[in-house]
Amino acid sequence: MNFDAELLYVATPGADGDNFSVILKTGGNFIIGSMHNHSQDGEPIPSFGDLKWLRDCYVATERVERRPLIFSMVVCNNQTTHVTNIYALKINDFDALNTMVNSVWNNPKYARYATDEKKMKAIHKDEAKLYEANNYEYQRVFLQKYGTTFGIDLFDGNTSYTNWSKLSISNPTAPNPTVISTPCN
Amino acid sequence: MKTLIKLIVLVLFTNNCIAQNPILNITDDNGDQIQGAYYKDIQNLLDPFVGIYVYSNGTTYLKFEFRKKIMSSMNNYYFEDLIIGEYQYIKNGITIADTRNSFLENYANGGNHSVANNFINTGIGIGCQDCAPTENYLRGGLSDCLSDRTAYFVMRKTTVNGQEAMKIGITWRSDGMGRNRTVNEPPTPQPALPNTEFILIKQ
Repeated sequence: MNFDAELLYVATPGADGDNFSVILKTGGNFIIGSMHNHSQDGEPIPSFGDLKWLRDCYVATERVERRPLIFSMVVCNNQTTHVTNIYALKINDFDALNTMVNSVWNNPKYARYATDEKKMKAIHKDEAKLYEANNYEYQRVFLQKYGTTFGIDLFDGNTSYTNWSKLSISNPTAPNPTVISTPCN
Repeated sequence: MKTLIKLIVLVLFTNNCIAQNPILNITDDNGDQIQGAYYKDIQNLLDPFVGIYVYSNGTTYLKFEFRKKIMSSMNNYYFEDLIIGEYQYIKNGITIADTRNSFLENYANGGNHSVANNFINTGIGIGCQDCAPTENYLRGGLSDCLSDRTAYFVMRKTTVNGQEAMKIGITWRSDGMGRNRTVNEPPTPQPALPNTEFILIKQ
């Protein structure tokens, strides 16, 4: 929601009781993607929740021929560097994505939560701690954690948002691999 | 019978040994916890956040109570010290939410409380752009009581006219990350608390 229509990254609160949170639904004939922002109190990189939504969207769509089009886009503003990124996630191997999402979701340490959202909150807390422990190198850590085994590709829009680059890491097994940006066009 | 009692004692003793090994500092939790470890608040960094805090402006009354939970169990996979919190929210004389009875539940996993927080951040960072370089604040989550939504929840100690206080920031997350939301289901209810910041005075 954008109550004041200023289209600024930092949200201006609306009337009391209104809240800035988007509902990301799946299913039906038309939903093949979503776009949302991570607020200034969140991590400026796609989250495990975005990967799970990507999987859920793929499963729920009633038009299976549209599955190759499914995407999730996330707008992030790094509050430290003040750099804004538009990230896009695409599936390159659904079976891998499904398997790996389930492996995290069914991890025994997250088993005793009263709701799925509380479980997701705990997973996101662990993500936040991981980024903090790695000097907030968001792209590198995301790609090390999800980029090689989760069956997804991560794209970054350029500064004028006229082109996309695919992000990858130089050596997935190295402790501190370099992030490589390869323009799509 | 004696054999059975010995067996029970042995099992309890063995489980206890496994459960607390190793004991690590809570600040060493990098999100990939060691199975069986206990992430303990060795430096008592969570203690300053404990207490009852109140915001009141005439039409709005918000009371948060924060307690320290020792050795919260993540399904016995690992253990951690936590700040847990529950709250009462009254608007125009009407109680919108009152979750304080949840303290009676004594959850083994403190993460089931409305607030469960132990991620200590220091200095300027996400959720605190004007923190002093050595200032500690907590970054975690808030679970809604009217829906199953969750929010980012930032806790920062401050003072107001010389009184001890706490600044909290609430930002509701996108909905549909945990439980899948399909196109045909009705909208999720609005959360009880607004998307905003409050400064609450310690009681």
